Amino acid sequence: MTALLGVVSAGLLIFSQTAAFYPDEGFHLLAAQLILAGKKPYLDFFYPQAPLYACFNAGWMWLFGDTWRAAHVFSALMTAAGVALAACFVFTRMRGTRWEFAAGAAAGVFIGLHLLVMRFGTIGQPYGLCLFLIVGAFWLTAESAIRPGKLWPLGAGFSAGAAAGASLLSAPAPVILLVWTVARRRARRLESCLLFLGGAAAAWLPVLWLAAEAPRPALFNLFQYHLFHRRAGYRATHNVALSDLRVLSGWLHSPQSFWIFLLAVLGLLWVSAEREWDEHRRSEMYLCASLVAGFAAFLALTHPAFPQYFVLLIPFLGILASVGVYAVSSRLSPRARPWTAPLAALAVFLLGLGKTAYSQRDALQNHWKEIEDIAREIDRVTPEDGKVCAGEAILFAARRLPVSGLENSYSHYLQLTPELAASLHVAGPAEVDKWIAGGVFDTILTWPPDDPAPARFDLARRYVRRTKVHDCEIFSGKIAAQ
Amino acid sequence: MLLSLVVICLTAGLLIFSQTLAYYGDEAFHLLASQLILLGKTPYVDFFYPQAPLYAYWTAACMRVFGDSWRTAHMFSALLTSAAIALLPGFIRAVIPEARWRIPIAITAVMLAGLNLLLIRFGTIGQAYGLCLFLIAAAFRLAVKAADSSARWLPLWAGICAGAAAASSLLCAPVAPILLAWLIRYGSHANRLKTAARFAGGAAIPFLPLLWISLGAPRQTLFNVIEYHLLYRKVGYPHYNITLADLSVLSGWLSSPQGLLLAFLSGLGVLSTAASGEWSEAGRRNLYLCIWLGAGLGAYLATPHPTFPQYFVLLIPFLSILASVGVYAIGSRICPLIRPAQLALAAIGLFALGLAKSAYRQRNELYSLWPEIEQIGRVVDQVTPRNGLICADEAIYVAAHRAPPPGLEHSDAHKLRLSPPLASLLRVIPFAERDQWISEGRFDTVVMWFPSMERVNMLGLPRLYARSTKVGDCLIYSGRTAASGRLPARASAENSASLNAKR
Repeated sequence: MTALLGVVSAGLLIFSQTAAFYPDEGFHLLAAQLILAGKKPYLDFFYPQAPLYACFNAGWMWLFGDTWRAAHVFSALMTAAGVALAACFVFTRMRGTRWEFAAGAAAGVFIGLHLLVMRFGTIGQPYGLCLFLIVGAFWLTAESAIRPGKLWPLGAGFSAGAAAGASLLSAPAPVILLVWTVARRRARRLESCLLFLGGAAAAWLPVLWLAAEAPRPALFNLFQYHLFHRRAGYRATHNVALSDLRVLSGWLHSPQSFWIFLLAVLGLLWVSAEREWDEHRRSEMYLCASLVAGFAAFLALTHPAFPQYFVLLIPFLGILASVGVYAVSSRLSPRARPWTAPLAALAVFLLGLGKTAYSQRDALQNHWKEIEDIAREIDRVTPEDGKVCAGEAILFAARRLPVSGLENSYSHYLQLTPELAASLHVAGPAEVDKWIAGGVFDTILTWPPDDPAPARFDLARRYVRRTKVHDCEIFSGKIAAQ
Repeated sequence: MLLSLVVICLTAGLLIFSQTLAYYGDEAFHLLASQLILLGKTPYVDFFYPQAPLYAYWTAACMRVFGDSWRTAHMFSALLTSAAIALLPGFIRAVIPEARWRIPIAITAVMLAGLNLLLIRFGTIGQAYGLCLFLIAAAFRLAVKAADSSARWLPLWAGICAGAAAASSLLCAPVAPILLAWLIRYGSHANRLKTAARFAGGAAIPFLPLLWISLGAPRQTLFNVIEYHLLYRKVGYPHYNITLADLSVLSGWLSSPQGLLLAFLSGLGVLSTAASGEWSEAGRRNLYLCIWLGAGLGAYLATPHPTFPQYFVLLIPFLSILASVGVYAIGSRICPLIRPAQLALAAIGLFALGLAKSAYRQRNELYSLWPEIEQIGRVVDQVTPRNGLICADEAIYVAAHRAPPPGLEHSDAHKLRLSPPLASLLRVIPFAERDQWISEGRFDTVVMWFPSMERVNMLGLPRLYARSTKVGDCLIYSGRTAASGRLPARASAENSASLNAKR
């Protein structure tokens, strides 16, 4: 099983350096770079996310360099660790049966080779870190119910809190785990809960510190934006509810998700009816199911929802699915070799991976190489302290700090009062246009090829050089008269 | 009672679907073949028809009684598909050992078959699937009964059904050999050989019409029934990666919620059949037949090149049985505490959710063009002289109740590249020749569906015809001008005249 987990981890690492890319990772990486440069989220730049991932990432970049490759390695390692934790959890729960290796390996493959995990657990976004932390929190919580030490609930609370502090999408984890702890602990229930809460609060100390320094921006970035402004930038004709429905029913057409869902249901049915396992072990599986249900309900409420949010369900679905595989093997073909049913289940799952990867082949393209080419050119044509107008990924790759207000391109769509916008470091489109027209920038990058900006601002006459790299046009060499 | 109600509801649903949304582009040449048979023509001899002939004869018979319209063909397809579904519960009830599970599992089998979008779409159109589904389900049931019985008529009728299915569509060809092999392997020992002989004799009977045609026209029959499928299926796809398309079809079940659920439950059913000791000897043997048919048909249907998703509709009865056995395995062995009705409802509910999702995805294909075609057919009939010649697609001939000129009965035939003597023997006209006929003004009416003006001008249609009428996406050119050529071959005029006389 170690070899299998090694292969899965190596696969995730290779994927992270070759095919992993998602356009939205640019602003997360830029935030980490800004933290590395001594800036604080919310106080110094707009960052509508919980801050821990950017802080962890900044620390990692400090050690290994501020490149997308370092961030991807960090995410891939975290994801691999999460996968290994889940597989080992299943292995320990099946110990003593003939299926311990088969079920543990099945869990590792179901989670680690799920395309959603591969695609989003290996990029510069918090999914990898969250996967590791929520699986860790789950296991620690499960252990805390039967082990006497104080570190178990404390660690569980810390992991769950850190997951929520890395991405608000993980917010249901501490709540569900705490409720389960309350329900399960017989002795010293209050103490366990307090330790759990204490651990969670400890993980949120950086957030609380930022909130204490700038309560209004922190409140807006952490809550207000998600409650009231998530749909900013969508055209009026775009039916967000319909696209949410498509996302929410997407698992039906995803061979991998539907397959592990079916096996997970089977696993849960078996756990509910079978008395082979003791009550604690069964309650762990119910906790798994509660996490699946709780996460699914919470993530379905984000409006708009995106398929990648549901990556957080997969470890728990994978654990239940491996129990399903065990149920099928032990109940329907008990005399067959222990690997027969798991291999059949894994074969269908891997066929699903092939099918899904083929249908998403256009999305499985890493654009970082192009971004780096563009960034190199920008760096070459821009003076040392020059100001650049470009997207977050290019600013990150060029290691150029953005003008205040350009740290997050989504913020341009927000319609806020001037005072609030100023306190949040948000620049509206009119303001950015004014900066371009006023010649604030030494270098301006325009994309896509039909971008009207060059004609609108007559950039060809206001800049000496016009360079084309891939599909981007770079205007540089500001004419002095301006 | 409940089971009957479910089957009646499904039948009503399939009938409604068949008259409203059911449509597939390729059904037209089957319907036209039936109309031509009604006129006294013989497939292969008088027109190109690269299919086994029985379905066309069956539809012609139905059309004679109920009128030669697409509605008749759709209605009978829907009824036969429903009949195939209705044959499943009897088998399930005999095979499930626990009495309290029999009705819920039988209902599950019926619903897994009846709510399958592939079956709904292709079991209700003017193609052979409905008839084949009924015949293979009947052959399966009769073979199962024949294995234990000494009644002589049972293997004979099983053979007749299996043979008729293959004579209706070559896609059903493996059913008869599989049933025969199973009867030899598992039939009651004393009568095993006699049973097999009766089955084989029965299977030969439905091929008698084909034999009769082939005696008169051996070359044409050989080409239409065998040679075309072996060597010419790929014509018309010159710039298309058929292998890739085949792979996409063969892996399609993975991304279909209904396909994946059916595969999952069937897999459990197979495991349970093979490993569980709860089945009676006869029950396990009969379930093995189901597995053999599913595997054999599946492997065979993967070999046509190109293959199409609808071919796999023929697996549905057998997969539904195995899937419902899988549901039973979950209830009896994995979760014995659950109530049968609860589990059946959960499985059916999930399957219905998959139906809704797939139907929404395929919503652009769930649209019948027949009302539009009928409208075009009416106008074509109006503007064309009584014995006039029409150049149009097969569906428009069907709707206008006009016979096509010889050589225009099958639009795919124009793509074939054959030697002139063979083409003439098979009544195949190449595209270039058809275009030449059009530009010579041989037709009284020319119907262009989704026309490009470039092509219309290239053929000189505005010069050749006085009137052009637009109906939907169709341009109908009629009223030949002086620039048009002379009247075409007599045979074509005879075709039209005889059809009009019959009407």
